[in-house]
Amino acid sequence: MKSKVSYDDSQKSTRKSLFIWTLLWLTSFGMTTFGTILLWEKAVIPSIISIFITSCLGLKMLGANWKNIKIQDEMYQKINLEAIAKAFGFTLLIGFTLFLLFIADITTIDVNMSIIAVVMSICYVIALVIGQRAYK
Amino acid sequence: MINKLKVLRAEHDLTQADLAHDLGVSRQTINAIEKGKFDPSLSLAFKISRRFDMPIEAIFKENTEK
Repeated sequence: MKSKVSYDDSQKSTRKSLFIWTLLWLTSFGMTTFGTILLWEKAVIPSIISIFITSCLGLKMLGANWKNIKIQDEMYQKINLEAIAKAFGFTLLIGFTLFLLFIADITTIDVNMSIIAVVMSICYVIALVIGQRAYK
Repeated sequence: MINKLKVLRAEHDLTQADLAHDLGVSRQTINAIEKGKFDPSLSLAFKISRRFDMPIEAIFKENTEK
Protein backbone atom coordinates (compact mmCIF):
# COMPACT_ATOMS: atom_id res chain seq x y z
CA MET A 1 0.00 0.00 0.00
CA LYS A 2 1.46 3.35 -1.02
CA SER A 3 1.03 5.85 1.80
CA LYS A 4 2.88 8.69 0.05
CA VAL A 5 0.67 11.60 -1.04
CA SER A 6 0.55 11.47 -4.83
CA TYR A 7 1.84 14.28 -7.03
CA ASP A 8 -1.67 15.03 -8.31
CA ASP A 9 -3.15 15.19 -4.79
CA SER A 10 -0.51 17.62 -3.54
CA GLN A 11 -1.04 19.71 -6.69
CA LYS A 12 -4.79 19.89 -6.04
CA SER A 13 -4.18 20.99 -2.46
CA THR A 14 -1.75 23.81 -3.34
CA ARG A 15 -3.91 24.99 -6.27
CA LYS A 16 -6.93 25.19 -3.96
CA SER A 17 -4.89 27.23 -1.47
CA LEU A 18 -3.66 29.54 -4.26
CA PHE A 19 -7.22 29.99 -5.55
CA ILE A 20 -8.55 30.90 -2.08
CA TRP A 21 -5.78 33.43 -1.29
CA THR A 22 -6.06 35.00 -4.77
CA LEU A 23 -9.82 35.33 -4.34
CA LEU A 24 -9.38 36.90 -0.88
CA TRP A 25 -6.73 39.33 -2.17
CA LEU A 26 -8.88 40.36 -5.15
CA THR A 27 -11.92 40.86 -2.88
CA SER A 28 -9.86 42.93 -0.44
CA PHE A 29 -8.33 44.92 -3.31
CA GLY A 30 -11.79 45.68 -4.71
CA MET A 31 -13.16 46.63 -1.29
CA THR A 32 -10.17 48.90 -0.63
CA THR A 33 -10.54 50.60 -4.02
CA PHE A 34 -14.28 51.22 -3.73
CA GLY A 35 -14.17 51.85 0.03
CA THR A 36 -11.48 54.52 -0.30
CA ILE A 37 -13.51 56.36 -2.94
CA LEU A 38 -17.12 55.72 -1.89
CA LEU A 39 -17.30 54.65 1.77
CA TRP A 40 -14.68 56.40 3.88
CA GLU A 41 -13.84 59.03 1.24
CA LYS A 42 -10.04 58.84 1.51
CA ALA A 43 -9.96 59.07 5.33
CA VAL A 44 -6.40 58.14 6.36
CA ILE A 45 -6.95 55.56 9.16
CA PRO A 46 -9.51 53.32 7.35
CA SER A 47 -7.42 53.58 4.16
CA ILE A 48 -4.22 52.50 5.94
CA ILE A 49 -5.98 49.61 7.71
CA SER A 50 -7.60 48.46 4.48
CA ILE A 51 -4.36 48.75 2.47
CA PHE A 52 -2.48 46.89 5.23
CA ILE A 53 -5.00 44.02 5.17
CA THR A 54 -4.85 43.87 1.35
CA SER A 55 -1.03 43.80 1.46
CA CYS A 56 -1.03 40.98 4.04
CA LEU A 57 -3.44 38.97 1.90
CA GLY A 58 -1.21 39.71 -1.11
CA LEU A 59 1.79 38.28 0.76
CA LYS A 60 -0.19 35.14 1.60
CA MET A 61 -1.17 34.87 -2.09
CA LEU A 62 2.51 35.18 -3.11
CA GLY A 63 3.43 32.48 -0.58
CA ALA A 64 0.73 30.17 -1.95
CA ASN A 65 1.94 30.82 -5.51
CA TRP A 66 5.55 30.13 -4.50
CA LYS A 67 4.48 26.87 -2.81
CA ASN A 68 2.46 25.94 -5.90
CA ILE A 69 5.50 26.38 -8.16
CA LYS A 70 7.89 24.61 -5.74
CA ILE A 71 5.65 21.55 -5.53
CA GLN A 72 5.42 21.16 -9.31
CA ASP A 73 7.65 18.60 -10.97
CA GLU A 74 10.68 19.70 -12.99
CA MET A 75 8.92 19.80 -16.36
CA TYR A 76 6.10 22.04 -15.09
CA GLN A 77 8.63 24.24 -13.28
CA LYS A 78 10.45 24.63 -16.61
CA ILE A 79 7.18 25.45 -18.43
CA ASN A 80 6.33 27.99 -15.71
CA LEU A 81 9.78 29.60 -15.77
CA GLU A 82 9.66 29.94 -19.56
CA ALA A 83 6.12 31.38 -19.38
CA ILE A 84 7.16 33.92 -16.70
CA ALA A 85 10.21 34.96 -18.76
CA LYS A 86 8.13 35.37 -21.94
CA ALA A 87 5.38 37.28 -20.09
CA PHE A 88 7.94 39.62 -18.50
CA GLY A 89 9.71 40.24 -21.82
CA PHE A 90 6.55 40.84 -23.83
CA THR A 91 5.10 43.10 -21.14
CA LEU A 92 8.25 45.25 -21.15
CA LEU A 93 8.20 45.40 -24.94
CA ILE A 94 4.48 46.22 -25.20
CA GLY A 95 4.65 48.65 -22.25
CA PHE A 96 7.57 50.65 -23.64
CA THR A 97 6.10 50.61 -27.17
CA LEU A 98 2.80 52.02 -25.84
CA PHE A 99 4.76 54.58 -23.80
CA LEU A 100 6.67 55.73 -26.91
CA LEU A 101 3.44 55.89 -28.93
CA PHE A 102 1.84 57.92 -26.13
CA ILE A 103 4.63 60.50 -25.86
CA ALA A 104 4.65 60.80 -29.66
CA ASP A 105 0.88 61.57 -29.48
CA ILE A 106 0.13 58.64 -31.79
CA THR A 107 -2.07 56.89 -29.21
CA THR A 108 -4.12 58.10 -26.25
CA ILE A 109 -3.48 54.90 -24.24
CA ASP A 110 -1.62 56.02 -21.14
CA VAL A 111 0.38 53.06 -19.77
CA ASN A 112 -0.53 52.46 -16.13
CA MET A 113 -0.35 49.63 -13.62
CA SER A 114 -3.71 48.11 -14.59
CA ILE A 115 -2.71 47.87 -18.29
CA ILE A 116 0.65 46.33 -17.36
CA ALA A 117 -1.07 43.76 -15.10
CA VAL A 118 -3.60 42.80 -17.80
CA VAL A 119 -0.93 42.50 -20.54
CA MET A 120 1.33 40.45 -18.27
CA SER A 121 -1.50 38.10 -17.23
CA ILE A 122 -2.61 37.53 -20.83
CA CYS A 123 1.00 36.93 -22.00
CA TYR A 124 1.58 34.52 -19.09
CA VAL A 125 -1.54 32.44 -19.79
CA ILE A 126 -0.77 32.27 -23.56
CA ALA A 127 2.88 31.29 -22.88
CA LEU A 128 1.75 28.67 -20.34
CA VAL A 129 -0.71 27.08 -22.82
CA ILE A 130 1.91 27.10 -25.62
CA GLY A 131 4.50 25.59 -23.24
CA GLN A 132 2.15 22.81 -22.13
CA ARG A 133 1.29 21.95 -25.75
CA ALA A 134 5.00 21.83 -26.69
CA TYR A 135 5.66 19.03 -24.19
CA LYS A 136 2.54 16.98 -25.01
CA MET B 1 18.62 12.34 -25.66
CA ILE B 2 16.95 9.02 -26.49
CA ASN B 3 15.69 6.61 -23.85
CA LYS B 4 14.23 3.16 -23.30
CA LEU B 5 11.65 4.28 -20.76
CA LYS B 6 8.61 3.17 -22.75
CA VAL B 7 10.09 -0.30 -23.34
CA LEU B 8 11.10 -0.70 -19.69
CA ARG B 9 7.68 0.47 -18.52
CA ALA B 10 6.00 -2.10 -20.79
CA GLU B 11 8.36 -4.86 -19.59
CA HIS B 12 7.46 -4.06 -15.97
CA ASP B 13 3.76 -3.86 -16.84
CA LEU B 14 3.44 -0.29 -15.57
CA THR B 15 1.16 2.47 -16.79
CA GLN B 16 2.48 6.01 -17.19
CA ALA B 17 0.42 6.95 -14.12
CA ASP B 18 1.97 4.12 -12.04
CA LEU B 19 5.50 5.17 -12.94
CA ALA B 20 4.67 8.84 -12.39
CA HIS B 21 3.35 8.01 -8.92
CA ASP B 22 6.47 5.98 -8.06
CA LEU B 23 8.77 8.79 -9.19
CA GLY B 24 6.68 11.63 -7.71
CA VAL B 25 6.12 13.44 -11.00
CA SER B 26 3.14 14.03 -13.29
CA ARG B 27 1.97 11.53 -15.91
CA GLN B 28 2.52 14.23 -18.53
CA THR B 29 6.21 14.41 -17.57
CA ILE B 30 6.62 10.64 -18.08
CA ASN B 31 4.88 10.98 -21.46
CA ALA B 32 7.15 13.88 -22.49
CA ILE B 33 10.29 11.94 -21.46
CA GLU B 34 9.15 8.85 -23.41
CA LYS B 35 8.52 10.96 -26.50
CA GLY B 36 11.94 12.61 -26.15
CA LYS B 37 10.38 16.06 -25.73
CA PHE B 38 11.74 16.57 -22.24
CA ASP B 39 15.13 15.51 -20.86
CA PRO B 40 14.95 14.67 -17.15
CA SER B 41 17.35 16.16 -14.62
CA LEU B 42 20.17 14.00 -13.26
CA SER B 43 18.19 13.57 -10.04
CA LEU B 44 15.13 12.24 -11.86
CA ALA B 45 17.32 10.07 -14.13
CA PHE B 46 18.83 8.48 -10.99
CA LYS B 47 15.33 7.84 -9.61
CA ILE B 48 14.37 6.16 -12.89
CA SER B 49 17.51 4.03 -12.89
CA ARG B 50 16.83 2.97 -9.29
CA ARG B 51 13.21 2.18 -10.11
CA PHE B 52 14.25 -0.22 -12.89
CA ASP B 53 17.46 -1.32 -11.15
CA MET B 54 19.56 -0.44 -14.17
CA PRO B 55 22.45 1.98 -14.74
CA ILE B 56 21.52 5.39 -16.18
CA GLU B 57 23.54 4.80 -19.34
CA ALA B 58 21.53 1.65 -20.07
CA ILE B 59 18.31 3.72 -20.09
CA PHE B 60 19.44 7.06 -21.56
CA LYS B 61 21.69 7.62 -24.55
CA GLU B 62 22.87 10.76 -26.24
CA ASN B 63 21.13 11.35 -29.56
CA THR B 64 24.07 11.81 -31.90
CA GLU B 65 21.85 12.21 -34.99
CA LYS B 66 20.89 15.79 -34.04
